[in-house]
Amino acid sequence: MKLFKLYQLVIAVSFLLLSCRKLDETVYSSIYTENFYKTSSDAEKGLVAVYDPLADMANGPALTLASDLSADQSYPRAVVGRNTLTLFTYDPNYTTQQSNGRLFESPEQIWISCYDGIEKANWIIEKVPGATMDAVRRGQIVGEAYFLRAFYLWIATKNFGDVPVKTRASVSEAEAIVGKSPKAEVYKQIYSDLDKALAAGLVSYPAVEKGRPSKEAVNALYAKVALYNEDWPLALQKAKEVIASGKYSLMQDVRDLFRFDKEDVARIENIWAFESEPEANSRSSQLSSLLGPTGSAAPAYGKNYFWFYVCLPVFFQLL
Amino acid sequence: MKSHRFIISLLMSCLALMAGLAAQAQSYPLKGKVVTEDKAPIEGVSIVNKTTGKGIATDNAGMFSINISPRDVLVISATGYVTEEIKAAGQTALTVTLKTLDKELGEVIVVGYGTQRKNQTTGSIASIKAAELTQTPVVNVAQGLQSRVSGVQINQNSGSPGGNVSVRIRGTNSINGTSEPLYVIDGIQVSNGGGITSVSPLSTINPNDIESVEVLKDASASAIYGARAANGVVLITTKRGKNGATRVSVDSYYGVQNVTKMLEILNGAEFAQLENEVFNNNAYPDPKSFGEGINWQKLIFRAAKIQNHQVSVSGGSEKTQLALSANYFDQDGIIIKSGFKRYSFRLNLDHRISSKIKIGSSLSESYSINSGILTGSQSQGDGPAVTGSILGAAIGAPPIMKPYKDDGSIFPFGEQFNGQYREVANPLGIAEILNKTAIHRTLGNIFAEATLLKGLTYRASFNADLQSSLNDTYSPRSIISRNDLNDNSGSAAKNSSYFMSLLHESILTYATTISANHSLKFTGVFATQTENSNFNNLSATGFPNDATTNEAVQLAINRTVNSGRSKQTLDSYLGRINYGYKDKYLVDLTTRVDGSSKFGANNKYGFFPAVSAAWRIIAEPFMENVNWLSDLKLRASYGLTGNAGGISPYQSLSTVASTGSNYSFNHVFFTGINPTGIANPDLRWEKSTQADIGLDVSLLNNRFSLVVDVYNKNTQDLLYIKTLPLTSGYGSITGNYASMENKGIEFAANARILDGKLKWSASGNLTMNRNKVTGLDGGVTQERFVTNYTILKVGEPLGLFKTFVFDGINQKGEAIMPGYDGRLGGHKVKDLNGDNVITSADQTITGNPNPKYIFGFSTNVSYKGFDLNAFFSGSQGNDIYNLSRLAFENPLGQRNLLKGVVNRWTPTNPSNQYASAAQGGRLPLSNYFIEDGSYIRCKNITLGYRLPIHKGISSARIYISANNLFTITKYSGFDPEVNTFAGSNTAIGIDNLVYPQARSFIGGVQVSF
Repeated sequence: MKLFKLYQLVIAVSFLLLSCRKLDETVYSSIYTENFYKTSSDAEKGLVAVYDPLADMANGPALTLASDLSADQSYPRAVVGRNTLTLFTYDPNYTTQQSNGRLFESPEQIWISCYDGIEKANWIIEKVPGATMDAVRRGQIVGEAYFLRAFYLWIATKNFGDVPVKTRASVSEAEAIVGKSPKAEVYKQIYSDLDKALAAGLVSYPAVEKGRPSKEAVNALYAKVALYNEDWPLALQKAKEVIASGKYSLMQDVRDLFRFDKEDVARIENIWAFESEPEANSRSSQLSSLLGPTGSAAPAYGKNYFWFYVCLPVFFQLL
Repeated sequence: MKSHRFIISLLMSCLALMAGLAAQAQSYPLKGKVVTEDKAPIEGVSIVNKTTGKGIATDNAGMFSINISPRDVLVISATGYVTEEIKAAGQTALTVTLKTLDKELGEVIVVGYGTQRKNQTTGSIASIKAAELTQTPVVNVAQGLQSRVSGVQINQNSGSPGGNVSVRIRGTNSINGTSEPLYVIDGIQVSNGGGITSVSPLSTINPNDIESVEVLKDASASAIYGARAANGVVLITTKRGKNGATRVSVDSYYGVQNVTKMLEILNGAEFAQLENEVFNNNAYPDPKSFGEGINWQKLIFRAAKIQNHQVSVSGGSEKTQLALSANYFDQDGIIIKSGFKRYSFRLNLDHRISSKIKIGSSLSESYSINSGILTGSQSQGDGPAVTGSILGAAIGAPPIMKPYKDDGSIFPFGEQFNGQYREVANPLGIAEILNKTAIHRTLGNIFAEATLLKGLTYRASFNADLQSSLNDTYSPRSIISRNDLNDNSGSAAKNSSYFMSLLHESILTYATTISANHSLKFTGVFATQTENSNFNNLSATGFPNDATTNEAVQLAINRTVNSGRSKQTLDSYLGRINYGYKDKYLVDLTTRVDGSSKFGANNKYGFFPAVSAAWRIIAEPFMENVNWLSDLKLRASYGLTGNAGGISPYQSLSTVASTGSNYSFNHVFFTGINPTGIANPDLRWEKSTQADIGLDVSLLNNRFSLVVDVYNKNTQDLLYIKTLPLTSGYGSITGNYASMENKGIEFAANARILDGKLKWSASGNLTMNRNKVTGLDGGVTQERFVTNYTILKVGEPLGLFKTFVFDGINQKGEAIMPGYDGRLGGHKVKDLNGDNVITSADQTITGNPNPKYIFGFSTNVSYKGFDLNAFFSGSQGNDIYNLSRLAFENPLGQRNLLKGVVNRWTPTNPSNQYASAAQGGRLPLSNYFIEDGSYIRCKNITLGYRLPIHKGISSARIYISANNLFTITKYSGFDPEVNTFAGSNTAIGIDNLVYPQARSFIGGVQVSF
């Protein structure tokens, strides 16, 4: 009988021991956001992600052909499985009923990528100033993020006019949603971001790493943005600053701008461009296959066969 | 943290074991005999001395002899009879009469964390026996349950061996979560799921080891599984050894399967004629010269074998019983190069240490190998639907092409006709793509059960589900045409994944009766579960040759790797009280608290209560003279259950990860790390409140019985991927933002129509479920597209088709409406709002994939040694969106089409159905592709013969069966039981070509020694 009492005690005690615990989660393949953006490599990796939406837009026709197609300057050739309707039709339903799921060819892709980039830049701008790392590079990283935020916001307003200006990271659902701002406000924000990028100590050409904006590129974007804002004196002033820097000049032969093997030499005129790499493990662009010769007639870096473009536009330079 | 909890539980089990070793008193032998009510001796009756735990079995004269002492109690039990308990005091010679167990009423069924007499249940529980489960040659338990249980809709979404099957108990309850029930196999919790081409997780478990399956349908029966119970629970009990003579059984069948039909397609001449029209170039001056050409379907379908062999040994003594089985299942697919093989064994062991302590184990191990083939695609119309699927390729491949080169190797289409047909693929080439998955799975548990006091038992169990799988793929260079072959050709992958689930349960049960009239049973459980998953994937492209396939990835030019790991824990506390008054009024109370690591910080623990009651009217005094009624019971239940299946670990948290945010600097590729979403600390389980009222009726000594249930299930806090403004930087946030209801009525009837020498029984079930979405996004969204033709809409059921309305063909002289790509000879759609332009406002609801009702019906006739069984199932009133016709009735050139296109529109043949030839044309998504998916299917006819008993053989039966013999349907595709989107909650009844169901003819033998 004594034994039985012991049992009841054991059971009672163990049930107490097994009382509710906190059930916190252990992450293995990702990192809690609050534990990230702390070191120089965190900051660099986070910054790579800010460039990524540029590749998302430039991979398909969204960034490169949007304006030409929507302005009827060119039109796509109907081929198997694609017709004229697929491109650049607006669809109120999220599933792009008419564009048939080809989101990357639609103007919506511009919107998605711009705000994707702005969100990623916001995290850098908010968090990286607190990172423990070399102060010079830290300033440049934040500067690149300002430059890219300005670029994305400009692409958005250039295509859509009045757009939301979002300068804080989406920490909660409530903070994720902001209203639209008039175009003048948008440009004010772009100018402000570019001013900060200018003050960030970015490297000048040719020392700048290929693919990143140089200090002069900030002024070049400034000039272009000001043009779109019809702010002529500012555009002139910024363009002059780029020229006065003496870092950039025109190519001897304009055709060399378009040559695959002259890509790096042409950076003296191509101030900043999307870094398309044709290798398997990289961010490439459909542009060559959309515009280039078909299949086996193409050079090795652009073999493909879904050639569909009828009018050849000017090759797309970002700056 | 985890380990000390297990140690405590182990200690508890050990203590329980020690306590049972009680002292024993002086004994003397008692002789006796066990007979039936007709005085016939019963062999193999178990006689157990309850005090000592020792026992023996009766011989063939029903005789036994056992040592007893005066205070002992004997328990006399045999399968099929009511168990008797007899006090030993004063007994010297004993004759025990065992009453036949009334099959329907006295039957004991398995319930969550215990068993219950069937007549005492208050919830809605359906029980299925082994013989029904394996009547058809099934690879998994879900296939065996199909059409057997009312309220349960089971769809074999793909006919591929071992392939996807979806199970819905009382409707689909989720949008973004899972709607599959929880499976509990001997206490081990297992889930089902997977895509249309993946192996069903249930296929790794041998269905031939199953003794019975109980389906818990209402909240009362399932609430004890708390946060995983909202979709219902399927309890699977495997065969355990029985005390008595050892029994060796061999169960084997072998059969041949074939495709039930092939689609009618254009022949060579018709195809060449069409090409001339599309391209208007007279490329084939003499189309007729191509004649019939090649029907590629004949090259990919084959007669395929299916076989299953099982050897089982069961038996044991009073103290130890075992059941051991080994199984080999091998099914070739009816499409070349596909198949499924499984090797498995099971050992179930029970041992009684003393009268108070029992221990046991269930252990099963299986090794399954699936050879998969790409059969369908979810993308509509073009490319992948045609080239990414062997069925699409077999229909789209021009009949004028050659399958093989002169040397016998596969002839890529890019190398024929100047590459004109390079956008369709040689189906035989697709068959060359390796896609093999090998899965090891171990399900095991050990348990100890101790009787602590009279009526009080404690059971501790430790369960494990261990899985490892390796998926091998290789797409060879040999199937790529010469022009397209480059350095990056040949692609390989090796994807391995490991899963481990550990579960401990401590179950305390106390049963007592108070003053004979009140019975009371209390069950308390603590359970803790941990699930670990991880995967390592490597893929590569650019192989020098095909010699090493994917077995030497280091040869490839480009290699990518990725890996991931996750973990989740679940702690549960639950209790149940069963109260009965005179077996007449029964009340059950159940509660469970589930705490999961996956839930948001503000909602870690969920509480799930249920209450149910039953009134056995038959037991009332006023029913005493109503002899024609043998059972009458009214049941009612109400409760809350949860569904956490759709939440993945870490979903409520704010994390950063590498999700393909990459860029190159200085021509070097860099991997970025980016925030993955917005944290949702409120994320929690979906909540279903379900009310159920049921009636059980049996007539004429249980000759006819009927079970009717009506239910209403309201699901709140549905997981929903709410669209966020894209300016947030993210497309969506997952949270509990939607609601839905399912209500329905279900009938199950059984009849023993003839009960003499000629026996005839029949059973049937019918289910009507009505589903309705009651809220999305908290009122922000009323309607949303899921696919380009399927919507989610408040106030309507899931899966509705919303499309344009087909209005014939644009004829000569007709004005063609702008806005939809209309053309002369092309499809015309209705301008519903009359604004003279086709916009999305002209789309309307045009079809419903949910059946009005589903049913199953089976009948068994036996006479002397012969038995004849037939089994039918069906679905009525459901629509199918036959998406494959979008690709294969569109004469856009460079692909073969369905036969109907012969009658396409031309200026001289103004067809009003088939569009004219137009290069690169596209058909609008209209209700043109919606078809009635109703069907009645003869799933099985079996003729068996039980051979006269020979010495040494206790039973032998041979049988032949025809499965999926015929299907009555108007549906034009391969099979009306189809869903390209597999077990999807929201995209239902869509056919973009899936692996068709096979028809099979089988011969088998069942022998016991």
